[in-house]
Amino acid sequence: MIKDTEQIKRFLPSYAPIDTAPEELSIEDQLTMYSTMTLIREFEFRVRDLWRANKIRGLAHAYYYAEAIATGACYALEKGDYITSTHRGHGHMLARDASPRKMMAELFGKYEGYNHGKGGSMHIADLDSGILGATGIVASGIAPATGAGLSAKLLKNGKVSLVFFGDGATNAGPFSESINMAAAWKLPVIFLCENNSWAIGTEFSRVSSEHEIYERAAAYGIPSTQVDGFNVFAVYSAVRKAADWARSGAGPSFIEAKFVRLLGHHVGDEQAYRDTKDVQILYQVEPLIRLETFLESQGIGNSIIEKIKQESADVITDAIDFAENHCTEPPLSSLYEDLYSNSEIII
Amino acid sequence: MTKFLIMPKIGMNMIEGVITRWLISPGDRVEKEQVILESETDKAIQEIVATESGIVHKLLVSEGEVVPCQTKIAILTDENEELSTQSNLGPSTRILEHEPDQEPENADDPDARPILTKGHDILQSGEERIKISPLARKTASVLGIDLRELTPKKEGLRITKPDVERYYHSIIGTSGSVDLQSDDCLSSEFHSIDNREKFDHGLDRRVITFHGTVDSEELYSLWENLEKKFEISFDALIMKICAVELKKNPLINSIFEGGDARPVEDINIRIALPTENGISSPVIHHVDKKRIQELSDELRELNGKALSNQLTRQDLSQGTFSIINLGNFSVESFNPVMFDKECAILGIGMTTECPVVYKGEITKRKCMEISLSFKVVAVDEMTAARFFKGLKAVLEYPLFMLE
Amino acid sequence: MSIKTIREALNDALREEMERDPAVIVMGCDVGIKGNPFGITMDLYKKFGLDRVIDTPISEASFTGIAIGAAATGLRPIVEIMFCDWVTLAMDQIVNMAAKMRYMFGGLVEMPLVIRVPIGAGGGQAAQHSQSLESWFNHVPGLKIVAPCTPADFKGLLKASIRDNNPVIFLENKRTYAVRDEVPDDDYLVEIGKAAVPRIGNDITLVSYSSMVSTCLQAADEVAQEGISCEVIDLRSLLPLDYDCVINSIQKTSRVIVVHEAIKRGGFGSDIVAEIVERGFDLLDAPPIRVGAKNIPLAYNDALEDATLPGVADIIAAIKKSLSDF
Repeated sequence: MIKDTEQIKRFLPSYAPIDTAPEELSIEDQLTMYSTMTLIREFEFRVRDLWRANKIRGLAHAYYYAEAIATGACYALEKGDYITSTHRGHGHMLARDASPRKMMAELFGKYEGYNHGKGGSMHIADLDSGILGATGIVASGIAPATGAGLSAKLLKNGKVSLVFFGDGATNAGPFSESINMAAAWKLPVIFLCENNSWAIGTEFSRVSSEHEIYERAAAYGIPSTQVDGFNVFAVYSAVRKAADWARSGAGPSFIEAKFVRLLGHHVGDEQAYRDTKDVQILYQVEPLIRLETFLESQGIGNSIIEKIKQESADVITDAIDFAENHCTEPPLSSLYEDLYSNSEIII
Repeated sequence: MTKFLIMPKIGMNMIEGVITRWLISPGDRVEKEQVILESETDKAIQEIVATESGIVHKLLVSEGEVVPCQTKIAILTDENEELSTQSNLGPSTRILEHEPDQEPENADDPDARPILTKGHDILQSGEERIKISPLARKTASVLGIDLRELTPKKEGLRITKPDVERYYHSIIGTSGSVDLQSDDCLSSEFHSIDNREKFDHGLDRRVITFHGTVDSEELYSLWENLEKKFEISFDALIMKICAVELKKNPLINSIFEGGDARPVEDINIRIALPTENGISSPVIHHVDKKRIQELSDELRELNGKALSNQLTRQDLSQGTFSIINLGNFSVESFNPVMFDKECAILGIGMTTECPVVYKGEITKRKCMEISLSFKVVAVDEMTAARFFKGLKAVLEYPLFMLE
Repeated sequence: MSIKTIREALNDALREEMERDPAVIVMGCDVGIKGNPFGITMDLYKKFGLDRVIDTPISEASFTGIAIGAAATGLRPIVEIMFCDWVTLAMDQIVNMAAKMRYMFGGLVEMPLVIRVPIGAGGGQAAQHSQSLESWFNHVPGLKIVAPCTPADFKGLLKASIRDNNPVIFLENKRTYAVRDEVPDDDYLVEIGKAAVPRIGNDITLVSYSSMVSTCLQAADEVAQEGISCEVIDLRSLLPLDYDCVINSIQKTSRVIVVHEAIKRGGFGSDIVAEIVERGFDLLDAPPIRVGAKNIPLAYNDALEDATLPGVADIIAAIKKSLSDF
């Protein structure tokens, strides 16, 4: 049980307890969502270990403790809808049913990875799963995601385009430009801001004037709401509503999923710039515990919970084994491949 | 001083050679002209000789490797010398050996001598750089012109290809542009191992071919007799006749070397023989001093060697005149192509029965086509024509040989 | 075959391609109702609707990004950046998204995108409305760059660029839209990556692209009176660039000049000369010379403008210099 709601709200003003699950979500749905969240949690902590053991190169920006947002959002979308992801995108991919094996292979730089070893952590894409790709430049995915909405509108295929971005992106030019155009042309786009309050080492409030991000979007005349980012059902409901709105032709909406980043910016970031004492309390209300508690209150036994956790762990173990022991390095001959279409090589 | 041994170009069309067997090892002392390796082709085993003297420091290519001509194949040093890049510097430059992240000394001193890092190309002190374009440099090299002979259109300008052409034409008295692509003076595809040094194309590459029809009735009846009685081959007879005429016209019997053609005393006639792999062309030396019988025997022997790929360097070298007989192949007449270093070649075409005017009457006689190609730089048209006339006369009436 | 201006040829190409393929759309400032400040997209919206001929706000960064997202999800957008100078606003999306998405994503995404970018300096437009920045894109693998000169080539290359599945930077010249010449009436396509030789000669090769090709031809006419025979190459495509054509020409002439309107330092000429020297050092009787604008922003005053931009006189001076064996 949560001890001190007041204290919680000091650090998580958007806090909203999970009293009930949304009507349309059956127990199976809820357990599936829980399974997804444990998968993400497990994947990310193992990635951190692999990175520390120098088995993964470059950078890895972990999605642990943000699982509610990816899971809730993606569960509310249809299979053909697009999501556009960021440098912190593993959670988005897994929530969209990407293959942990192919993701892990990509992190290991193997040819069997999603991007044939050419992308790495920050650029995983899977058009079949409706993942338009992840991009490592802050806010650079917002306009392309809006473009996916444009094509959906012109091709009349009923698709919706959801773009994830962080609080840092809301201060970049493309944020305003894209929301403006999406609103002006009533494009089927969902702008989902994962506000964890931190842009690497800079707290959002220090460098921004309007701190309530959803108010900014509202200024463009579109439906705009703020939800508790640690609450999977809250996110789910908001996205579901936004998707229906978009599919009806009414245009874009904005959702600010507000939470707090508990660990570092990337897996090697020890957060020397931050006093993390205060936010320790938020571990009481982190997404997994919230859903677990709710499920248990609905009569789901502990053994089932543990079984789901174990299954997720096994999937990740298998994925790592696949990547490490059953994959190949990209051949040098693949260096110029996929630069141009139709296998054209221009050296 | 560090020196390199180079894989030589032997013959016009040789572009590469195989290192069949090294005959030297690191540490050996090598003299210029010493045989250093064997290179086997499909025609013969060639002995490659050293182009420099010194101590073998390192072999750069291994047995079995195929190397393009002009490739460096070994490094030589002088006795008791360490292989060093500093040793051929003059006093006006200074090499600085330093770690890449260290600041070179005197970096800020404008009066410091030019500083170069290790391995940089260095001019010898006092050596003037010639101002010449890459194209002109290449053209001059192909034509065998020393760069120091060239002058630009005006003092201080860069020497360009037209300047090279200008010089070239001034030497040989012609005009026009030199096209580096075409090649007037191809020899056929075999290796003449006379020419172990870099091939000098010479300034004047003009070639003229005379064609003629020889009334060969007498020649044939003579040969039939010789063949029946002494088993003498037709080619041997032709060779002898040529030798006789060459003695009378020594300029035809010239060697072209070092940009210059000079007549030689020895009459060594090269004869082209057909083998499975193409033409093989051994040489019979001192044809003028041998009897026809000897020539015929030697020819037979060489033919055997050619067919079994056993011709040696000696067999193939020092030709001064060539004969190529395509009479058996229905070729009427053709423009035969010279072999390296030689200045003339006689081509024999086929013999047919044709209608001719003989002693005032129309009758049929055997007619044999002959063609003589020669290098203008060695012998002018008049001299060649005189030889041709004499040759034709003897071929038509072999007893003239006895003169 | 008809006589048409470049403007008309472009308009024809756009209309024909939009008719042929419903996925083709046009986006940019004032492309719809106004039909573009130079009339290039005139009346297209009447035929295809404002849904396919989209007037955008002044948000180059994001409408380029939108076009990129649309290209990745089934459309074939043609984005107009009104003046080349403002392509700077869209650089992140072009360089980091359009050029790289296909490669980064291991070939999972197609990017059939055309970005129309008018260069063309002079007329008092001054520094921010006159630049030629095409050489920046040479440095970004994943893009193609196309730079036609004649009306026929504009039609053929725009069509080819629209049908190409790669992001193509399409260079126009805003000061030569009224140039008139023969244009084929049919579905005329020009292959991307092939140069043309509008003038054959023996003494020196002039390599150029876009409207400077015409200036080169003028210079060639003038020096012909002095007996100098120039060969002029219209590259037509800058990436991929037809080096075979260039080297073959130099093999004949052994001298070369590269001419463009962009500033000389770091311009396309620099890379072309480097490639020529690397590939054909032994073919040269003289060092290659680049002719470009002076390394300064373009001033407003007309005399200063003239002094900055390259013209016939500069090309002739370079020809003479090359032939002088300096």
